[in-house]
Amino acid sequence: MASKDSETKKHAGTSPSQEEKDQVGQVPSQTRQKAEEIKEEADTLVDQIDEILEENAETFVKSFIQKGGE
Amino acid sequence: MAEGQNDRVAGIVGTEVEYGLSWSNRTPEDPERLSADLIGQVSEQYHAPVLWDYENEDPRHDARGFLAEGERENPDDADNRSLNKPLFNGGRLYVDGAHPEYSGPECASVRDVVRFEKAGDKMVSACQAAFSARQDGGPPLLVLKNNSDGKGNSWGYHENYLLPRSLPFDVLARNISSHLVTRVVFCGAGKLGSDQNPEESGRYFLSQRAEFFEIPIGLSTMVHRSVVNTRDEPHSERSLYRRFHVITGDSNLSEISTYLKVGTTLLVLRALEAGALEPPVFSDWVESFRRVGMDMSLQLPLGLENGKTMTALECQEVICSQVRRYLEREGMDAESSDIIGRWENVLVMLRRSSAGLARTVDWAIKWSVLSRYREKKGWELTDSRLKMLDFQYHDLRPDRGIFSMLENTGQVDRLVDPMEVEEALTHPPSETRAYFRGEMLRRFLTRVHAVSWSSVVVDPGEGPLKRLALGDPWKGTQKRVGALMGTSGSVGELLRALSPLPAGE
Repeated sequence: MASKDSETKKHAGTSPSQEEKDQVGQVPSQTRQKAEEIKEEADTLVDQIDEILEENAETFVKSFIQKGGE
Repeated sequence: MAEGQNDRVAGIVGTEVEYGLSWSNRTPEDPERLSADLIGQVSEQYHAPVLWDYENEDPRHDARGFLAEGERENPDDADNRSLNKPLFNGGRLYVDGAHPEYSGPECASVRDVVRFEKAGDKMVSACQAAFSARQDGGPPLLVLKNNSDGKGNSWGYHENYLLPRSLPFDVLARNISSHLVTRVVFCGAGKLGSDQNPEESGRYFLSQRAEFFEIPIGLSTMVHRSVVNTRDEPHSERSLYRRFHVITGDSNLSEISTYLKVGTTLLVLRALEAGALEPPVFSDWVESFRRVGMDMSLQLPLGLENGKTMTALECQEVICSQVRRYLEREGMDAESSDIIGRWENVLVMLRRSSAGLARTVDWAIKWSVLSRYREKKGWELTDSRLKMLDFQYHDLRPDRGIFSMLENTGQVDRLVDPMEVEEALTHPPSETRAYFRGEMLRRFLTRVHAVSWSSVVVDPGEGPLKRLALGDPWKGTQKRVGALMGTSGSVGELLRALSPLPAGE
């Protein structure tokens, strides 16, 4: 996503000013950083779940049968 | 309804949680025994070894004015003790049919409801740990705070709201129905797969319970479940009060979801009681509830009595704004103000996307976790490992429950301080009769023979046992009886000082 945004902007102008260059440089790096954070969070979450998720999922899911309650 | 203090909602509320059990060595051929074994592990710190007093119990009364068929319950002393664990916090841990159940004490603030329900989860979790420790390394007993097994069986989560008898039941039923049907959007616990339709095994539902409802109004909680339940067992002075028994809710793990579920319902009931609510009413309550329960898009139209349609979110916006107007007219205590603010906020967030609620609303938290995990693994939504994740979200083991993990790693929002929950394990709330019940057990345990919601049976030492009626849930508060209980050296002295029991407010 981030790199595509920056490509579009580069093609749009012929000779970008220094200010524009800065903006162009900044936005994608922020977006990239945010995307990386989200990816890192997702990776951490997956690791956290992998650590605790019961391994015999299929057996458990099949054998978990309750009587109705209340 | 009696007046409360200025900093909280006036009204008395208590919740009941039934837990699901799974133990692969003993897939419950005898779930009642297993439930009794589990609650038998409860610590002496929490549990007062007295009987449950069944004298005033009779769940057969129907709010429509008749008595249903059936036997009243009255177990012998040995069964009474194994099925009931009265608690120092004023609540009750017990076996209800095939499930262990925790009823929190009567609370006069919604924050307390959350605190005491959380204490119940901790207590049951401790029972689970003690039970599993005795199994010599065999597979653990899993205790799940959820409401369905994915195979067509459901167990309950019930809310109880004290209301004045003067509010006619048909008015109550009609005007509360739409809130019970649509509040799911912020308090559903979410589930992966239908319990009733195998073709929907890859669908994510907002509600665990909605699929199980069959009729608009009725008494039963186990078959032919109804959107509005008519059980009329007030556990208090029948001529003054009714206890509105709500059975449509899911058990929540998120403190914020519990707070919103109970808090918004309490505010709606207050507005309703004052005649300040004119909610849209659905033409088919059951069908509408089921549609809301399965609709993550929040876009499904629901048919109204007037022939028009409305989405669940639109209906919530109407109800919320009517309650806001009522509160602004009547004046707002701090808790009501907090609840209405959070309610409005959650509806605004829902308009945008569920992603904004991934720290507060159970179904959105679980969906966020499930979908991120699934994306990484590349699995189908029908994969049993994802259904396992769904179940394990509700697992009470602190080191294996998915919600616990999210909470311990700061990935979900809390409402109450864990220290306040610790206190709720051993001390009753101060603003209702639960204070008197709990403190009698704490201070005069050897003289208490039995307790129930509406009684404390004491042994004065000489002569017959004496049943103290707790007919008014507002009486027996710390403010009124705390000092007396503290200075009375004996039960006899206390009984003389407490005749009659002074009012709470």
